[in-house]
Amino acid sequence: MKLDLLLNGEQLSTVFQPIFDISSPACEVWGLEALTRGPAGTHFERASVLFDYVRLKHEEVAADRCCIAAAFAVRRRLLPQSLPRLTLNVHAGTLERDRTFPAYVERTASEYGIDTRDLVVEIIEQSTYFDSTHLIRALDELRSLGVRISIDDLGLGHGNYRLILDAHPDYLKLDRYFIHGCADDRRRRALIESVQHIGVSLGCAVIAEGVERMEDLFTLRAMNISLIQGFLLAIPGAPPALEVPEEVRSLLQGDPRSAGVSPALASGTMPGIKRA
Amino acid sequence: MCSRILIIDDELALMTALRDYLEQRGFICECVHEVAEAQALLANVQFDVVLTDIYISPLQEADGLRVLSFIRERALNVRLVVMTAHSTPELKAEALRLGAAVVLQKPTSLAVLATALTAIAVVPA
Repeated sequence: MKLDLLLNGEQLSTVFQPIFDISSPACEVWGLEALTRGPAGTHFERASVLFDYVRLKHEEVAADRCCIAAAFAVRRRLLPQSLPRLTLNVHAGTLERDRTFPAYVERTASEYGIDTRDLVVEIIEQSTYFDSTHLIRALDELRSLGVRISIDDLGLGHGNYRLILDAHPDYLKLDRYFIHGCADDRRRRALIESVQHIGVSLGCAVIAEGVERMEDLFTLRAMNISLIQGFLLAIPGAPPALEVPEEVRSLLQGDPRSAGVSPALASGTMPGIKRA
Repeated sequence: MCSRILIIDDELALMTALRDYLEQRGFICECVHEVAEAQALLANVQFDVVLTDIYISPLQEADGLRVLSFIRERALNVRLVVMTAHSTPELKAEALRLGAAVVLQKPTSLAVLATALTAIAVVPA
């Protein structure tokens, strides 16, 4: 399938995965991440194939624009207006190279009746960027529209500390690779804790994605990470479930030992966890 | 036990014939006609065999070799079968150096292809 056909808005579909705030008993939706899929029944239905292809063709700018327009259209059609935030994945290269990207976001959001103050740009750094000046300028322009900034996949690939310095993010997002199994792995907890420490120092909230196990959820809560995304809470959908499953909420309100979490881990006294 | 084959060729009719033939014999086949699409798939899906032309794009560059290099750079565990209508000793040597198990001359009979797959111990699931 040719890239221009693929990036035709009608070929792409958008699903949303909620990010929940587990700091309150209600575990309310904090935001929704827009996730793009290619045409059903093709290789590109798998997002990793779609975006690897886009990057190999060096068409991140066109792809990001198409994905945003598709996400806005589906968001308006399927989701309640009251939902607080919409998070959008954007390549660092787009922010660097697309000099009119902030204006595009502003114009497109306006067309779909979306308030830019409800938007969070998640910067994907699958390949390194070269020109900090333009990236920083684009982020400043987005911030002036009220858009918040997040760094996606922190610690993976090119997702590195340079971007933390350049982007002044509001959020740091930890990939599933670091999250999955953290309850049983002291090294994972140490890395999560270090990112949490950076977040506290710089005034950024940490978002944990890829949470699939109750014991990992308890561990993250013990580390004061309350913004949670993962199959345990909700799978991506169009529209997605907007409530945490009752059994998960009950467990969060109960004794962590019922989920197989040791008392030391749940109380934050195990190595790799320091209570703030 | 091997079963999944990625076929890369710009000749749609040939690709379809290969896929039909191989799928009838129990292989699982995916077909692409562009190097970038092949690379994106290889980066995300485990294949047992890549069956590729050397001249994939209409630009007449030997871009099939880029697929071989991509696989070699990432040390992907996949067997490579190259088919070409324009083989030269240099191209064949380069394909073999980049990891091709066999280089077949197009037009290739389906029986020859099946024999080649058997020779590199590729069998249907």
